[in-house]
Amino acid sequence: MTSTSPSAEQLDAWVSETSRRALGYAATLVRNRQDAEDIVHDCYRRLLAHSDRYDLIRDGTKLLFRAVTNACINHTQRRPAEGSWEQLELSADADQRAMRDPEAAEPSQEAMRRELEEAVGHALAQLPVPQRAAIELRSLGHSLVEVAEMLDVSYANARVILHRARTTLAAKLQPFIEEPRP
Amino acid sequence: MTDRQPEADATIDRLVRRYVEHQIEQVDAERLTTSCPGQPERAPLGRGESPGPPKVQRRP
Repeated sequence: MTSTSPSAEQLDAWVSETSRRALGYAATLVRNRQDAEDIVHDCYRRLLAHSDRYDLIRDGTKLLFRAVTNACINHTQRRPAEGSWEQLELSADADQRAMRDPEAAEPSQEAMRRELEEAVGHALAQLPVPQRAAIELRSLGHSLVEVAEMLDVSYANARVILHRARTTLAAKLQPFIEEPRP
Repeated sequence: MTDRQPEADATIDRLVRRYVEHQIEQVDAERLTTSCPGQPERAPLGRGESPGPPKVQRRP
């Protein structure tokens, strides 16, 4: 319970600040942009319905990512992701790619960057969703304590989940991250 | 669980961060306020007073 409820303008600003991040995160977890939008929309609606109970300005981001994480895990347990990782990326990039000349020579660095990104996407997609959530939340700057809270597991369990995610990703991405031997 | 190199973890984290940030960049937050073809119109995230950033409907 907060002493003073945030104003509608404060809540609007909070939504604006967090929505892209939350939606991008949800999209990477459920691998379906439309489902991600539905999940994030529903999480915002539930949180804001109780804005008198929570201090959303102070704790909202943590509560939001916790709600999104749980909703995404529930969603993927109910129904495996329908769209492939490629479809998610292709749909997102469709307009940009349509603007490019497909015959034009692509800089090699850009091609390598894209290849690496696809490999990371594939590797992430093969992780169990809690592992994916853990490493993505860490990559977004959340502490391990926060990751544990968001996944609703103990700190020790969060460490194990994160370790497994990193180990699997390291194995799958080894060709991309191995330093060339002199 | 402690035999991994911190540098290796940092490399993995950096790759994932770059990937997730790229995905986030691609997200058009304004789509939150739009309805989806073939689906019932979703209540707008907001008070509906002005266009722009996503708005949230508060319960009375």
